[in-house]
Amino acid sequence: MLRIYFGNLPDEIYNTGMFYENQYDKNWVMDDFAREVIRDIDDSEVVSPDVIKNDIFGSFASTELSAGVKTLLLIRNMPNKVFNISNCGDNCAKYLLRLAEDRDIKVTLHHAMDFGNDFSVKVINDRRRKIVSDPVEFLMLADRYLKGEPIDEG
Amino acid sequence: MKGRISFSIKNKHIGFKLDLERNVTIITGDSGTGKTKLVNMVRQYSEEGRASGITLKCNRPCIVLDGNNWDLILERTKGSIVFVDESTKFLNEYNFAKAIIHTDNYYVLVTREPLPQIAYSIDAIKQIIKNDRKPRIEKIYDKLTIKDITAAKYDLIIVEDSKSGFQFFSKAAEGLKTKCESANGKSNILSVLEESNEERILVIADAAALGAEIQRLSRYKAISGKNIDFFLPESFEWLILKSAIFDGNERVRGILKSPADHIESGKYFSWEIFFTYLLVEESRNKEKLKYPKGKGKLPSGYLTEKNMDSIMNAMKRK
Repeated sequence: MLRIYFGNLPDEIYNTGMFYENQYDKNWVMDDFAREVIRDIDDSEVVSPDVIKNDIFGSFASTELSAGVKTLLLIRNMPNKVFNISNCGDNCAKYLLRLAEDRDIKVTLHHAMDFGNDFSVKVINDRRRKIVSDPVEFLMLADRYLKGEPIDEG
Repeated sequence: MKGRISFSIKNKHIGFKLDLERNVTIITGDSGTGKTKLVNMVRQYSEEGRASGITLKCNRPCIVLDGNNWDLILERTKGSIVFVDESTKFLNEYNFAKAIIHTDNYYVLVTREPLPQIAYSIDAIKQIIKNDRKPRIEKIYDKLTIKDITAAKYDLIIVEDSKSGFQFFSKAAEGLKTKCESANGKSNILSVLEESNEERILVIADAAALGAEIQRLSRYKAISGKNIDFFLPESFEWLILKSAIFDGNERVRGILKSPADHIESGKYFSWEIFFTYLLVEESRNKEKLKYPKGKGKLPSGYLTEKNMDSIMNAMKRK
C-alpha cells in the first residue's frame, strides 16, 4: 500500500529528476510497466536501453523523460527510498497505486493529489496508520497538513 | 515592474507562449506536458543566448533561479522574469516567499505545491495543454466564479473575510434570508465547508490571494456531493471600486480597465493590497464612504440599499 507523508521528511528525495540522472540504470525503461507509462504519460516509445523516441523530439535518452515518469521508474526500481511524489501529476496517480499494490511504499506528498474515487492509501503523519479510501477524507487530511498563511507584506 | 509582458521561446522542435501580467504566475498540471522542458530552454538561452539554438522573445531578461546561492542571485536581479522549476528545494520555504516580496521581478513558478506562504491569484494559475509542437498555456480557474449572487437561493454563505467584507455580505444575506458566517481566513474555508450540513452553499473570497487554496476548494466542490458556488471578485475593495459608486471617477475606471499597467509589483505584492490602497485614497473625501485602512468597520454609506445593490451587481459589469 502507498504510505503517504504530507510535507517534508529528512530522508526524502525531493528532487527526483536530479536523483534519477545520477542513479538510473539504462535497462529500467525496458520492462512492460516502464514502456506503458512512457507511452501513456510522455507519448513516447522505448526503442532500446536508454533510447526513447517520439514524433516531436526524435530519439532521446531517458534523462529527458518527464519528472513524473522518472519518479515512477525510481519507485519501481528503488522501492526502499522515500521519493517526493509531488513531482508526479494526477495522470501518474493510477501508476503509483499499481506500484504499491503488493508492497508498502513510503512517499512524501506536498499537494493534494487526485487519486480518483477508487483507491486506498495510508496517511502516516502524526503516527497515523489509518487506511483512507474516501476522497473527501483524503482531501481534508491534505488540507490539514499542507495549509498555511501568506507572509505579511508589511 | 508593471505591465503585461509577452514571452515566447522556441527551438526546432517545440515552442511556448506565455503572457504575464502579475508578479507571480504558477504553471502546474499533469506530467509530460513540457513544464521542465520550458524551464530548461530558458536556462539554456540564459547561459548561451542565441548560440543555444533557442529563440526567446521577451522585452525583459529571463533567468532560471536555482542552486544554493539563489538568495544572492536574487539580490542582484531586477526587472527580470525569474523562472523556478519544480523540485527546487527553496521553492516551498518561507525564506523564498520573504525574499521575493518587494522585488522588481515577475516570477514563473513551476509547481504542484500550494505555496500558502505566497499570496497569488487564482487567475495566475496555468497549465500546459499538449498540442503537438505548439502547446498552449491556459488559465485553469478562469470560469470558476459566478457573477450574480442573487440568481440562486443558498442555505449558507461563507465569507472568507471577518472584517468589512463580512459586514457587507452578512447584511446582504439578511436581505436574501440566508445564513452567513465568516471562515476567519481563506485557509479555513475548506474546513468550514466540510463541517456545514447545508446543501446549497455560496463561498465568497478574494481571488487575488486565493491561489494556494483553490485547487483543494475546487476538488471539494467536485467530490463532496454538496451544491457549492464560488463568488470570487479580485477583492472586496475591487468590487466596491468596480461598482456604480465610482462611475464618475476616471482614475479608478482607467486602473480597473488594465490593472497590470498601474500596479507596481515591487510595491504591491498582491493586487488585493493595491485595491485596498486605491479605495482608501479615492474615498478619502467622501462622506460616509471613507474606507478605513485596516478594513475594520465598513462605513455606513456602503450599506444603503442603493449602494449595496451597486456593489452586488459589480461583477456583472464589463
